[in-house]
Amino acid sequence: MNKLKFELHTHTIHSDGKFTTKSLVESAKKWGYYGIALTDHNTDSGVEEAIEWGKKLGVLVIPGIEWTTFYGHIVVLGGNSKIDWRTITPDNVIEKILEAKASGDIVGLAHPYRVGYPVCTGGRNCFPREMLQYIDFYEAISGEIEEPTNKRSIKEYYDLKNRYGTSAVYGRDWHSDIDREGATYGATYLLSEKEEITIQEALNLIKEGKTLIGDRVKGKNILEE
Amino acid sequence: MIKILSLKTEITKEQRFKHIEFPFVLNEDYSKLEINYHYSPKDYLGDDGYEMALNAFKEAYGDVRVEVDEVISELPLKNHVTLSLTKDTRLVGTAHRHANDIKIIVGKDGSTEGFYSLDVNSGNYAIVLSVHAILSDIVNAEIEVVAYE
Repeated sequence: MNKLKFELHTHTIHSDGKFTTKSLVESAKKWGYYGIALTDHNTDSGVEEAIEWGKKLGVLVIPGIEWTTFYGHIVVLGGNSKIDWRTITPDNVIEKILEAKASGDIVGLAHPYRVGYPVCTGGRNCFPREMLQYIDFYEAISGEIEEPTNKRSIKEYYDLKNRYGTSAVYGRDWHSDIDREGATYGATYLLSEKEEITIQEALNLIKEGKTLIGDRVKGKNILEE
Repeated sequence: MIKILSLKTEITKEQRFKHIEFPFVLNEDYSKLEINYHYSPKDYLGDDGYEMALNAFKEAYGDVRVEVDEVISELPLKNHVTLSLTKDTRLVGTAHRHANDIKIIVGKDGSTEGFYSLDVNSGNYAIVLSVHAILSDIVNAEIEVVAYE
C-alpha cells in the first residue's frame, strides 16, 4: 500500500495567503507532498494556475474552495460546483452541501473547534449539528498538532466515524511557508494501491476513508484508528 | 475613464453577518473595471476587547485552561468586511483579505487575484460588502468603481 502525502487545506494571495500559486506548489514539492488541495477563501480563481504549476513541478493539485461563511468554514474539493458562498446560511447549509456533492465534489468541515468570533469569524463551527452527517470528511486535526482544540475535534471525529463513516483528514490551513518555532504539523496520507493517482482517485480515496493522519515529515500515524 | 460609482456608507453592529449590496448598471461595454475599497477603523481598541477574545477562546477550548498570552496575541481585535463583485447575479470574485485598503481590477485580459477574468459588458452589477466582524459602533466604508474604455 502506498502512502501518498497531501495537504488538503491551503491558501494563496487569491485570498489571504502569502503564497503565490507558484510558491505554494514549490513549497509542496520541497516538503515532499504528492499533492495539495487549493482551498482559497470564497474563491477558486487561482485553481487553474495552480494546476498548471503542479503539472510543471510534479505535484497533484486538487481544485477546491473554502466556503468561509459567518457560521463555519467548509472545504469543498473537486471544482465542479460553483456555489456562491454568500448564499449559504444555517438554514440551507445541508441543501448546499448536497448540491455540491451532487455535482461530484466532496465536502468537509474545516477546523471545527478553532477560536471563533470575534477572533476568527466562523472559525468554530456554529452550523446546526445535523449538517455533520452529510459531510464526507472532517478535519480531525488542524494546524499545529498540539493545539488544545484538536482534542475536541478528534473526539468528535470518532463519534462521526462511528455514526456516519466520516473520513478523517488533517488540514494545516497553510497560508505561508513559515513554521512556528517548536510547532509540529501533520499531513493527510492517502492509502492507495497505485503509486500514481488522478484528482478523481484522490477524491475517491478521501471519500472512502482511505486516509491516515500522520506526522508531516516521517508519516508516523498520529491518530489512532 | 468614467466614474461609475462613488459612495460612502456607515456599517453598524446591526449589520453583522449581513451581505450589503450596492447595485450599479453599465450601459455600454468597457475593457476593465477598477474598484477601490477602504474601510476604517480596522482595529477595535475598546476596553472589552480582551474579555471578548477570552470568551471566544473559552468556547473553543472547552475544559482546557486558556493562557493570557494566547488571548493577548489576538489583540487588537479587528473589524473585517470583505468585498465581492456580482455580475447578473453571478459571483465574479471575492477579496477575502485582511487589508482595509484594496484596489481590484477586473477585465477580460486579467483580474486581480480572487476574481475571474471577465468581459466587462453592459449589464447589472453589484458590489457586495460582507460583514464578517464588526466590533466598533460604526465602520466607515468608501467604494469607488471606475470603468475604462
